[in-house]
This record gives sequence, structure tokens and C-alpha cells, in this order.
Amino acid sequence: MSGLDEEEVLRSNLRVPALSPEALARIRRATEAEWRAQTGGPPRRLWIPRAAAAAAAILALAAAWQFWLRGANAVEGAPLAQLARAEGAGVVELRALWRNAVLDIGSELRAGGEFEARGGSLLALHGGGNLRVSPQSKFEVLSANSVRLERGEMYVDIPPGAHADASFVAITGAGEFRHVGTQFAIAVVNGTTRLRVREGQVQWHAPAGDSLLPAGTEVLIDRHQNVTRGAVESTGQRWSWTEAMAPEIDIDNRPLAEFLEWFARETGRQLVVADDATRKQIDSIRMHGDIHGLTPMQALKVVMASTSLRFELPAGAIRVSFAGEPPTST
Amino acid sequence: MLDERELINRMRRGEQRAFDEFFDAFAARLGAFAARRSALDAAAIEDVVQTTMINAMRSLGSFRGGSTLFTWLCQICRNQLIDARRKAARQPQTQSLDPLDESLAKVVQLTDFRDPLDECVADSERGAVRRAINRLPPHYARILELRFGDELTVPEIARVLQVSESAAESQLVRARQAFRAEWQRDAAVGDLP
Repeated sequence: MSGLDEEEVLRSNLRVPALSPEALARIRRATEAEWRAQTGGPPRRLWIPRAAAAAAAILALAAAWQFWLRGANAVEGAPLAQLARAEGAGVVELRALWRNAVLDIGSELRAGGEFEARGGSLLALHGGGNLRVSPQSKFEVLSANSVRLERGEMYVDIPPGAHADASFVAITGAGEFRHVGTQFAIAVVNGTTRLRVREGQVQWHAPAGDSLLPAGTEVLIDRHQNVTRGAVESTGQRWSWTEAMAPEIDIDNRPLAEFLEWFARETGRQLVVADDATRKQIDSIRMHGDIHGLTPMQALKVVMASTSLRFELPAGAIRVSFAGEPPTST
Repeated sequence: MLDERELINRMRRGEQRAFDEFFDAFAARLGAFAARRSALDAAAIEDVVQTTMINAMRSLGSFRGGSTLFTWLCQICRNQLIDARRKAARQPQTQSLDPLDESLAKVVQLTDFRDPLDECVADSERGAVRRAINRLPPHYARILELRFGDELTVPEIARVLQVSESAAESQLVRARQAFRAEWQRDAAVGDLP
């Protein structure tokens, strides 16, 4: 090996990526805690009361500035969604230097706002579709089409054709997740991002490049960008929280077919109609009453009980057929 | 230049500024040391550095100044690296798909975005350099890391090691010779049938 080769080998192999600022901060916290435990920590500092007084003065000035801004400047961020439903303690807008505000149903969530869902929540997106947020999730609205999820889980349900001008983007520490006609769930837990694609595709933009993730894919990306990829079914227990927060539909005087399509989409199943006679029946039946407050599965049982049809739930599907012999046409 | 024994004394008296100086001077360097001396991933390196620093806090009283503070920390770190390697060897080769919850996973496949063949070649060379460096006397390994890993000039190295520039220069030459010998030995072992 020549001297130059040797230098190149040493250079290329002894250069290593530095610990990230986040990693160093975590190490510092742990080390400092141990150091304090061992030494009893630093002696009380005389400058703390003065610093506290200075900080209080700065806070007061900042609060006054915020107050003036809110009063004088009516311009607010672009609206992303409207709060359609909230359970438990609802959705809270987190305001720096200001008291947090619980949102009323119908409130707008606008760019620049930071929110915490204290109970399950349903947001109706302005571009079409909806966003379901699990309890204890924290997120920031970045624009009319993008949200940064800091912790918790979100389910994005955007039917084909919606958000045609600018696709919806969910952002986490693992990158940007852009819907491509999609139902997907994205979660952030202890710095790890988990994406589950239920329908359509999701475009994942990360520092290492772009990937197109199809339905049935689950990806875990830890805080060091290590990726684990696997499969996920479109039905089952893991989606039940999203089904519980499904947007309600009015069924009164609507065809049964419409309800069954809604059920199939909300539960990640394919609608299978046994035969032409059944198809004709579900197109012609008009429903009456309402299913407000029921989950899709509860609603299905209630609705189907009032018809001459029956349903089965084989893996990934709902199959509808006549309960007995189909009527013969005369 | 940091008076290391005095720094430790100030830390033992609970002086916050001393702790900050210590952490800022050594944590990142220790991270680079651990990464160069092992094939562990970033998360494991972070764990090793954290455990090393915590153990150092517990042993502050045992630092006598017989070596530099960084050499002392490196010795603690080496022990942690050995432990980490043992633990890694005991780990299963597959990874759970569902660390966040539930258990319905069907397919487990680890992926990344690099070409496997390129990675294999790079890993092989990295491993050979790591083995050669680990076999060198610590002061030779250190000077090579300063020169080629941290890209320090000879005058800068002389300041870090607290030696004259000519001493640093000649030490660097001897370190390179020693590395070359170890590298060739590694290649010769690799060529054996």
C-alpha cells in the first residue's frame, strides 16, 4: 500500500459521524443527574433570584407583546380543518405565554397552532377527507395541508379526488409522509415513527431518499433512522380506535348500498355482493332512522337486522347475500 | 489548556461550570472514539458513551492524573464496548415488527437504503482498519485518529498531546509505520487458505 493509499484508507475509515445534538443532550442529562447524585450538585447560586426577576420581566413584556399582537393583528394562519367531534377532555390549543384553550366543536384549526388531543378527536379537513387523532397526541398545524405530529397517533382518511391541488402531508422526525389517495395511520412514540398504510399509497420523503409505500405496508423508523418494514392487515383490532372515531353518516332515506360502501371503507374491507339479485336489493332498499353514536360494526348489525339480507365478515371483506332463497322474478 | 486534576477537584466540589467544561470537552470525542473502535450502530454508541460518562461520574475520586483524563475515559469506554459487543452477540438476528404494540406481524424484513455489495466492501475495509487500530499501542492509535479522523494538523496535534511539534511529527511517522505493519498482517491472515 502506498503512502497516499494508506492516508485515504485511514481518512475514509476513521472519519465517523458525530453524535447528534439530541443524543448529546440525552447523555448530558443522564450524566449530570449522576454527577449531582454523587456530589450533591452545585451549591445554591446567588444569581438565581436576580435571573428569575429578569426572566419574569421578560415574560411580562412578551405577554404584553402577544396581547397587542392578538388585538391589533387579526390575520391568522390558513385553516386546515374543523373540529367535528371530540371525546373526553377534547382538543386543547397550546398557547405560549397564554392560557391553553379547549376548542369548541366547529372550531377551526389553523396554521401556526399547536394542539393536544386529550380525548379521541375527529377533524374534517378543508380539502376533503378527515383526520382522526388518538388521545394524548400532540401536533402542530404547519399549513393548510400539513401537520407535524410530535407524539401520539393520527389516522389520515382522504378519499380519491380530494386534495387534488396540494396533497396532504404528515411530518414527523422520520420525514414527510404524503398521501397518494389514502387511508394511513402514523404514530410517534418515544421518537420512533410508525406508518401503517391501509389503502392507496404513501410517499415517504426522508434524507436517504423517497419511497412509495403501498397498502398493507408497515414501517417503523427509529430516532436513528433505522428502518424496519413489514406487513399490516387492513382490518382488525389495531384499527378499532379509528373506526370508533369515524365520521357519522345520515342514512335516512338513503340506499342501503351507500351505507354498505361506507362500512366497507371505514373498516378496511372489500364489499362483496353475493349475486345480481342481492345487488338489486341493496340498490333498491331505502333506509330510515339514524345511526348516530354507533360504531360502524354496531351500525351494520342494526341496519342489516331490518332487511332480508345477511352479512358475513371473511378476512378483509364484507359479503352480503339473501338470508334465505332470493326472490324469483316473475 | 485544561488543568485536568483541578477540573476533577472542582467537579467533586459540585461546581456546575466544571461539569459543563468536562462534558463539552469529552462527550463528543468519546462518541468518535467508540464509533471508531467498534461496529456498533448509532443507538448503541450513544448507550456506550452514556454508560461510560455515568461510570466516570461514579469514579471521579479514582482519577489520579497518571494519564490524561481522556485516556482514563477511553479505558472505561473500552470496557463498555466489550460489554456491548457481548450483549450484541447474544441478541437475536431478527427484530420485532411490533415494538409499539400488538402482535399481528406476518413478514419481518430489515431494510435500508444502501447497496448491499458496496456496504459489504466498505464494512470489510472498515473492519480491517478497526482491527489494526485496536492492535496498536494506544498513543499510536490516538495520534492517527487525531490526524486522519479529526483532520488536525501536526501543530494542533502537538497542542492536544502537549508535546513539541517535532515530537508529534515523529510519533505520527512511527504510528503510520505500525499501522502499515498491522494492516499487512491482517491482509496476510485474510489471504490464508
